[in-house]
Amino acid sequence: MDRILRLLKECGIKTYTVTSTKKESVELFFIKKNVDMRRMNRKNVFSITVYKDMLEEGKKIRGFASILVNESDADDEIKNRIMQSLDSAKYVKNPYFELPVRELSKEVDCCGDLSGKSLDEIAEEFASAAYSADCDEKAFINSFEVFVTEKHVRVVTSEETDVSYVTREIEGEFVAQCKEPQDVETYMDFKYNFLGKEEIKELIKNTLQVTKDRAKATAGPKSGKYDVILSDRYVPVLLQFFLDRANAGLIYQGFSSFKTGENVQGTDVNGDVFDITYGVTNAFDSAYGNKMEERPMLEGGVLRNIHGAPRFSHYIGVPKIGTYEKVKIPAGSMGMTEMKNRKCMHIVNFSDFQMDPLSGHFGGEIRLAYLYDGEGNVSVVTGGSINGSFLSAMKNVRLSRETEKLWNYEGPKAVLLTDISVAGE
Amino acid sequence: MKVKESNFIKENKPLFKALIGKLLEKYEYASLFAEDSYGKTYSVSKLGTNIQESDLNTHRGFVIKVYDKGTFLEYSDNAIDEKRIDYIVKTIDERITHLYEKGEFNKYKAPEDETVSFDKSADMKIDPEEMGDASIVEYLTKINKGAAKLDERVINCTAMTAYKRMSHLFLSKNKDMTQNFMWTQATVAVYTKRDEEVKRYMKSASVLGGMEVLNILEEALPEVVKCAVELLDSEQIEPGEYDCICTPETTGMIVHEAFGHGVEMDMFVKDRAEAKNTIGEMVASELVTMHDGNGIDQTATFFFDDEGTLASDTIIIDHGKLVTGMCDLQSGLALNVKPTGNGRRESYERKAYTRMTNTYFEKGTDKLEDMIASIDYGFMLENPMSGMEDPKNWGIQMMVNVAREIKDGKFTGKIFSPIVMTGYVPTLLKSISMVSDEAHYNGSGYCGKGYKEWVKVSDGGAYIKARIRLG
Repeated sequence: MDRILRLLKECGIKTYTVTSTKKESVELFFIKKNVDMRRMNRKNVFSITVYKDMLEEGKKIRGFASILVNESDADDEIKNRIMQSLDSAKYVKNPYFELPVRELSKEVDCCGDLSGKSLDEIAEEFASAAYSADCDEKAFINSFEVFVTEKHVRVVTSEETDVSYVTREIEGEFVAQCKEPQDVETYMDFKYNFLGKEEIKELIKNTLQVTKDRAKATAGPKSGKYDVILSDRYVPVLLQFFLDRANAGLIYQGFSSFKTGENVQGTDVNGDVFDITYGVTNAFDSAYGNKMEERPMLEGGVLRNIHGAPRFSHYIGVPKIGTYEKVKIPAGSMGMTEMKNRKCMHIVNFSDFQMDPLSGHFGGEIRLAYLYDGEGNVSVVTGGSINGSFLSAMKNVRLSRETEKLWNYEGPKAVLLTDISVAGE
Repeated sequence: MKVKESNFIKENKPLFKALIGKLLEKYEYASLFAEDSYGKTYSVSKLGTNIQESDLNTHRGFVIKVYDKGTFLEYSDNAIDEKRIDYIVKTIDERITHLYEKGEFNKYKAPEDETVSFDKSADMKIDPEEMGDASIVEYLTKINKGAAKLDERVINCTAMTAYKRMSHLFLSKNKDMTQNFMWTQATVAVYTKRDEEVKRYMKSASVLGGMEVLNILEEALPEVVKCAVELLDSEQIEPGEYDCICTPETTGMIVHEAFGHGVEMDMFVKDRAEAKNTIGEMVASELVTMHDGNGIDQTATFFFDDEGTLASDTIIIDHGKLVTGMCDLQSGLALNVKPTGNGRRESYERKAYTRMTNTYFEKGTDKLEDMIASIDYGFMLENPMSGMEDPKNWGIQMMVNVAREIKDGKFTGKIFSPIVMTGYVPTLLKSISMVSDEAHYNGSGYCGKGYKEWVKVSDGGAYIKARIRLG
């Protein structure tokens, strides 16, 4: 970092942000129960943004451009690219904005229980735990990949910010397969910032069960309107709508009309009213060094804080709180059993569930759903798709009493949506 | 002009050779893939102007692949010097070979290592670096401002372009190959708003080359604005099965997502692809012939893949019959087939998997106007948004932005949006009854393996007429 700061000074750069990322990972790849590949990866890179203040027609403007530099690059090459980026910044004629100021911190350890062990040991321990759950008679792990990564991040800016933190994460994916009565599979990914041995075992167990159920499913749902339960990993995807619409960048562009102090869920709400908190994934914003801390996003459906890049926060006149990736929501009032007492469809696996924050539409192809008839009977269906609008659905959402904890979400494990269009047979 | 070579690769090649030499003293096979990629993105929108080097496309580093007693292991890094050579060899010997030692391992035979040596560069017309930031930003600003002048209902227009200049080196005992390429893409996206619902329509183009692609934006803008405004009156479709005409971009998504992923042969190794059981069988209408590889010049054209296999033009489906899949080196060893040049990495940091390159349906003999006239009631499907593969069960999930209604062989002017396409892949491919005599290709997107490992691909082909379930 000292070398980069010296080179910036030699180039006469007055305003800058630099993020240094030193990364190491250990990776294991399995096919069935056998190791198929072992890998290690190391890199040390700097992301540098230089800013150039100018006047145009009497107005102050601030241009900027970003470059990516390797630690091993020669001084002359780095200086040359810094000067090129300063030249590029001349053509970026954006309204002036302020960068976040003065944040200082020694390296904050965000590794939790992943501290104190080598990455090799963590990878081996985690993979062993995962495979200990691969003990079903009919369904099994087809393939499994795990990446254990350590990142030392330091952010230094010309505005007297100098913060650093270290993270460790375990992420990866697996495919579960069941051959009888039909040969089917289920894809699943995972990410933990703690040694989630029990969590991966539970995820594998549940995924094997879903895969066995899908192997039995032959019929598709009938086309029509359904009450739909979404659960587990699909809940944060759906509720990403709020995180995106509360982003200063979307508001500045006019894509989102969210305003602080206004009820963004609407007034005629028949379901649960949303209370959402911004959650913390890293100690500091990796681009500008803002300290990240839990803050309210929605209280009773009313928007309290807008997050996002400092430029857009400045443009729309809100505090620069940084960009958040995680939300926390309190448990709802309806148990999942109660949800399933009605005639409804609980979709537990999509080929790819998507939420478009701009249009508010969500949808996906159904790989497995449980169809409840409201009289205690349940059947499995596969195929067809759902296509709904969260803009209308959010007024009638019911949140489950049961909760879940994922890297980017803590909150109700399931949501009940009413009157959703299903394309089927 | 030719794409220029990389100084990083040229200057460090003796060190890379020394590293491979040391590894070959201990291991039966060792190879090195070095990459020096530089990607720059420009955009002008209501967000302002942005010029930045792209994380996804800017990489400088190398990966070593070692064959150790029947198994493969890899080490990647972005720094190399004399001292580091011994450190890397030691890390492989003393650390990676001992990772998860308690496990059972898949065993492979050693890769064949034919003698090949060359240094090739692809052509480009307009070098982005010579064109300069000022001209590029000026052009994009003109597009951005032009959209609102065409219709006051436009709330934003993003004009963007990106290029990637890449140099690759592959070294093994018998191979010494260098290649230099550049691709460039350009996109215009126009946004309109109905109450709280934002609608968007986009058009993009790409070339194996430089900024010669940029002019597409000016030509495309009026049509993109018109379609974005039309979307304000779009309705939700009545779910059902319809006669449809897919535009080349939608055909491309079917080729890539619905079928292409299912013939990536690492999926055969894992027993994850139904296609493994249908080689030699009719999987599509006789009108369908599908290619992957360097049969066209697009964003995924190269001379050798990231494992040192020479690129080829692979015919996957020949007049409806599934002939073969596409294959990376390690899967080829597992299946005892020749790799097809489809071993690709997101970057030097990542593992190679079997990946598509330029994937497309050949054009046929039908005129587009005859195809439209043949529809009693159905839709033209255009502006694909996303898709997801299902190689095991050949389920289709694709989302398109627009279904344009056709009644009695004519467009009614009514459009539906958004649309989820579902169904069973062979049923859809066998229902193809007309294929146009014109074809278009686009490589402005990236392909993931599951939800990661993003690589540049292109796809496309002809307009096709098929029976498709929409919702």
